[in-house]
Amino acid sequence: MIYKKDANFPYPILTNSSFDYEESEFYFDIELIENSEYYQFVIETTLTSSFIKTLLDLQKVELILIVQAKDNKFYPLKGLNDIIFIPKSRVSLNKRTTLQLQIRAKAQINFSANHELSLFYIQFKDKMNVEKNGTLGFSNIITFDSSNKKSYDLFEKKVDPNLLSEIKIELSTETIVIYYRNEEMQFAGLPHPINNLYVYMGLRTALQQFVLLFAEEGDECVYLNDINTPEEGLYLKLHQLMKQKGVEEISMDNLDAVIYQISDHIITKFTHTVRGLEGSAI
Amino acid sequence: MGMFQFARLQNIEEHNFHNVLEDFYKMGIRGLVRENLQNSLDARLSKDQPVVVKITFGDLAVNDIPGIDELKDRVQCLEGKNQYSQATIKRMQEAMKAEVVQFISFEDCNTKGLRGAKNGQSNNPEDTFGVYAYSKGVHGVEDDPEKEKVRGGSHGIGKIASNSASDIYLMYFANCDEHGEQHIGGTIQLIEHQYQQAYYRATGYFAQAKTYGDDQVQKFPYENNFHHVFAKDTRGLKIIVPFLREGFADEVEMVKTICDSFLIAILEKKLVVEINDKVIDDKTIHMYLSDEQYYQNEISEMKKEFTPLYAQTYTKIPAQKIQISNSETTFNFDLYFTYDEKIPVGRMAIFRTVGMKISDYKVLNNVRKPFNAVLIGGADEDVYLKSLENESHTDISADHIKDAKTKRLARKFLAKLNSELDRIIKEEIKKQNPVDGIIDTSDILYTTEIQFKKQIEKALGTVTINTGKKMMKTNDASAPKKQTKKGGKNKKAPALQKKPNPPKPNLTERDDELKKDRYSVQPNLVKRLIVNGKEIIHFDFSQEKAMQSAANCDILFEIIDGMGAKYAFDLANNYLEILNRHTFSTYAFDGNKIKGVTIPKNGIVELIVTFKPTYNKALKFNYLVEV
Repeated sequence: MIYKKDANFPYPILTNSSFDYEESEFYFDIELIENSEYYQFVIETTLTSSFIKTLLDLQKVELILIVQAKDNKFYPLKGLNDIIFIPKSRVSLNKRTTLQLQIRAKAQINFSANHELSLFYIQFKDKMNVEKNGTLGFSNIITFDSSNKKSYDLFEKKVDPNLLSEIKIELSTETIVIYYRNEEMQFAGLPHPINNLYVYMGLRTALQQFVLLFAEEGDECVYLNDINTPEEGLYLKLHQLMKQKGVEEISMDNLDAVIYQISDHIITKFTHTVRGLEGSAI
Repeated sequence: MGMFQFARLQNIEEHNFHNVLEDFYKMGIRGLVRENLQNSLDARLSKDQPVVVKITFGDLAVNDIPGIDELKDRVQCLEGKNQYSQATIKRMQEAMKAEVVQFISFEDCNTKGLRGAKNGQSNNPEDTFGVYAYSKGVHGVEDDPEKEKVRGGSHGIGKIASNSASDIYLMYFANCDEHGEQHIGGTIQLIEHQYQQAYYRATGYFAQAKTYGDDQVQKFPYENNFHHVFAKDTRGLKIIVPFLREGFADEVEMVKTICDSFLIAILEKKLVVEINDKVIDDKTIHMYLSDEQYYQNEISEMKKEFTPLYAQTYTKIPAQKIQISNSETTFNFDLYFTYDEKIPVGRMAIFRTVGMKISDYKVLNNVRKPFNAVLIGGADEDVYLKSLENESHTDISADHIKDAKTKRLARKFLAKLNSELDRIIKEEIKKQNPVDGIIDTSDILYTTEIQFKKQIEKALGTVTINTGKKMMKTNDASAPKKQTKKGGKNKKAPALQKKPNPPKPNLTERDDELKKDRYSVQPNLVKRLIVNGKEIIHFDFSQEKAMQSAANCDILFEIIDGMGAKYAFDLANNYLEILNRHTFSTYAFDGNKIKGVTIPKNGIVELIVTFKPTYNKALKFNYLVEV
């Protein structure tokens, strides 16, 4: 359970509002990266108590991330700063989603080594114990506020009746251009996703080119953290998109996996659209 | 003689309930609301004022229903000859056992009400009361031919919608006319039955009968002096349906029906509907349309309900004139048309000029095109559309038309309507989709920036005083939310906040009891500890002004969980002894309260509690004090 209100525990507790410790701060901040599969929470914690920090190092207590939406989910952290991956199927982010860190005892904790307590408690510290699973502290609360979609102008279409093939994919400096021999092929007026197959083909073409351009000599793989950020144009957009979606490496072998990671169900949306049209054909 | 009039029969021929009853029942609350609101709109009095319909639902004692005793007897006499009527009769008999039932009523204002109630069953079409009350399949004629054209009902069965919503097919209507005369009528739809050695027709009229000659019977309404649920004392009509069937008292569904069916009547200030305490008018309707509780608000998900889109189309887009001909007559319509690629399902709402929707029209070959449209004609168009409407006024088609020529013309009209819309949609698609340009991939290629709100301090109603300690304010949401713990040294603010005393049960209590003030203690002022099998509770009241003048106080215990929910705590069940840590005097306790705790000069109260072995040591507390 997340602690939203103060209450009197039968032992000292480390929070941002209690005076049980002489000095007591327990804050955390998060950054979030997401792709079609999971959320990646990057967590940074500020904790003033060296007593608790020592217990964490000794693994006598654990730091737990609690994500409360419809129900509570618990994710132990490996340290004050950690990255937690949560599949999108496991949590939903909405206005009611609330997060908090808590410190929980993994075994009975004695307070005799705790010199940070306030005057009242310090006189009893040798005799004070917190049982296993007891909460030793809780942090500030972080609530989900809003999400903004940023789209990328990656694709252009053109009609060219003189095309030698039915369609043609070309990479320009800013975009992936799909040429159609006639405008019927563009399905104007039908739901967008019906063009997703072309988008997929275009994306694959552009990513292949990305690998060819950015792989080190003798290497078949591009490590996105190692290369210089492309300066402008199409490759900059692709680079940003991949970085934002948590892609670390790309090669000829994982192109489809990368497309899946950086996009939102291109083929599923195509399938639903076609099925929908089939269902409403009258 | 009972209060309901059933016509005598030679014998029983028909063993079924009126078939329309079940048809209407299947439409649920939607059918009932549509029918009644439509009738009210048609009876609009002043064009400068909206018709106001008040919908009320709640409980009603069966004994307050006029004429109910006779109906109970008759329902007991019904005999079903087939499975369906047996089931219905059983339901009626079961329903009759209740002492309190649900009712719904529709009361209209700025409407004409019915005329000529005093004349009763006069067979004069201008006596609208008589026509409404005692005939089926006809309606009274408007004296203004233009109004007659635009009025909604055309099948003459709308009245029965109210019967169908009642478990015993019972409805009443209370009328107040322009002279302030108040009368009440009603009907019950049973089956043909035998009652006290005679045979009777299915329909019973809530009326008194006057007999002329041998067998001439004329019905007259009762003057209305029944229970207030049945009262109508301002000009207009009130429909009352007792024994409301299960599932009909659904406020969300009612609000949606009103918005869906009467969108334009409401936007054009022709209609205002009040449901219990909710008001739906041209201003508030937007609030309901954008509320997730009622409507899907994501345009890309609007696949079944389109009302929020219609509202946008109608209010934001100027109308274009279109002409549709059935090759004999040309009709003129106003078309409001939006094209938006996000719209997944294309529909065109067809409205009558009175502002009631007839249909979510599917344009042939364009049901999945990303458009939304509203179509409204004038008086002539209304008449023609009326002839194309199905019985429940929910669609237009040529299928139900019997006359071959009319049917052919109707088909032509619909084909023209489809092709005209098809042309407009195609044009718009071409305009919106230049063959060369950016492809919109925002639904598949995007990144999401997610923002979080960080609550640095607890969002409590807390105040800081000069020592930096806090007392919790109760019932105060306006208190500052963020306070740094160590800051604010010079701020002065009330430290204890008064909490209202619970009302005293009687006045025999001692005076000083009555004068006590109750405060909630912010957890920072308290330290708790369980050590060596005892609990120590330390209160620091040294900075609390409210406590300084007091020599003693009462302390109350409340269990609290992390979310702030509070639970009762009984001291006697958990504690054996409560002791002052410094004076070793013991304190009496009662319920959740320790009485007469001494407050020393330094303001520090320390208690030592001996608890029972069953005491849950993990509990968290909040404390209150009374001084």
